[in-house]
Amino acid sequence: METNNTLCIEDIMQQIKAEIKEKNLTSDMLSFEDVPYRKAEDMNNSDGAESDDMSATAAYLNSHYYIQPYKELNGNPIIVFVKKIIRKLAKFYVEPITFEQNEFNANVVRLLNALKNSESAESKSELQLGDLMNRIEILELNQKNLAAQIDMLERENLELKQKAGKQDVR
Amino acid sequence: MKVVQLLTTLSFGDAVGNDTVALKGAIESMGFKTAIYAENIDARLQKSTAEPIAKLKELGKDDVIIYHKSTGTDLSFKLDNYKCRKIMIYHNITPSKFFQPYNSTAAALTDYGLQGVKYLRNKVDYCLADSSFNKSNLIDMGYTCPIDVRPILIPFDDYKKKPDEEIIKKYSEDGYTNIIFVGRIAPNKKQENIIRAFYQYKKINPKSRLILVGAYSGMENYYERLVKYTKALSLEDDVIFTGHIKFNAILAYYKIADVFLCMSEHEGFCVPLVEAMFFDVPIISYDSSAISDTLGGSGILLESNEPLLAAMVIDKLVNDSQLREKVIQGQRRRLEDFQYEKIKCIFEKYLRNFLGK
Repeated sequence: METNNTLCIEDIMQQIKAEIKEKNLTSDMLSFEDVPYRKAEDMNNSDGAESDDMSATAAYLNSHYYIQPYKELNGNPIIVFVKKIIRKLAKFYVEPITFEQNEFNANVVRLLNALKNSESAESKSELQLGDLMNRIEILELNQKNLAAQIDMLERENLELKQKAGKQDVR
Repeated sequence: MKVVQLLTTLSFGDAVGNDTVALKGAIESMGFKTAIYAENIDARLQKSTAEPIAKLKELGKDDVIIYHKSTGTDLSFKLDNYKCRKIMIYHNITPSKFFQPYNSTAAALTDYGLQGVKYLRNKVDYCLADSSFNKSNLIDMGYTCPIDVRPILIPFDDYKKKPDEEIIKKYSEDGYTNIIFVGRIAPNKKQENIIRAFYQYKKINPKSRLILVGAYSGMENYYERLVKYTKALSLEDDVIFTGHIKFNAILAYYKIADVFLCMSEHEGFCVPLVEAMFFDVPIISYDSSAISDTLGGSGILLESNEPLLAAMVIDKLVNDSQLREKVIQGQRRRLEDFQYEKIKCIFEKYLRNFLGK
């Protein structure tokens, strides 16, 4: 029974192969090899961690850039009193430096925020660009596949014309 | 005397997990003390199913370890620490060349797995292979111990569960021809060749669709490439990637399938072929690795992966009801060989021979 079954399938396979040969059918189409893909090694070069670090640093700078010229004084009242006198004496020197430093820090943070924003806008447009590139890639592949189809149809057309020509001669 | 089974991961519902659990029952019924020890145990399994390897106590020289080998693990290199008799069940490991372009971790894991198999070549006393292909793999790797072929145990009762009605309704009432393949989205399974064959078949029968059932986790790069390929061939509306789905959904896809098309280039056994037999779905498959062993003369084997040939065979199988019936009859006969009692008897015979009882 199984042999009959195998024979029957073998016959059918032979018929199909003969049909492919007789009609000169081909399976011209876009090859899978032509399709670009993300390679394994590209996956290991992700810069996601770097971007996370940058966001954390930016958040810290935004909340800590302004420095107070004086720290709160606690503890022994005599020591606090002495420290207050020293602070008064040093005020003319410490305060302008601190304010200048705050001005500088504020500018650095502003610049950093601007840079960060432009980067996220850039990554957004990069994403859009990636999307567009993807669509272009698929359209190019589509075109390649269509070109293979046209070639195949032209070949078939030529063969049909040749056959028709032979029949006319007869 | 104890006969224990050892493996890295005991998963719920996968081929190796099902086989291990079923063998536990078979060993118990032979009257031996038995247990399953695994490094990772799926939480969905009953607690009494398996124990962590750390709990495996000293084994005597008469005891037996049955080690299931299917992946890269340190366990292979520790197996010779157990001073008892050792049997390895080889489920096969896919060569890394398939994974290299898409996932270097998966490639490294399979390489490590094969290193483990080679390491054990003179450290196990006996091997059981799921297929003749697996047996020849072991011989090629230098195994000189006795090796027998024993197909994997498949829990057919699970397939009698209720399928997802919504899927059946969605895909069985529109008059389309449904071609399916079930299996992880993985480069060795060559889903691109299935898509190529479908592209050619679509020219013959525009009212057809291809359903690729299977998860793609870990193989995202390959999956994205396949999706791109279907779009480039303008097949995106007719090729369905289901991703990871529930078991009743898988059953539903088998129910609505007209043809099961497999173009895989590396399989150690290929359980979905047997599943297709169970659901009377006629099989067309590219003749590679263990495919012909599993089909055992049933189904239709393709000697090349030429898409046009596959497409024309699909067309013939869909339209020639006599041929279809013959193929299904052949598959039903082959399915008998995979019945639980039959495989259990084979296993018991081999185990008794090994034990000398």
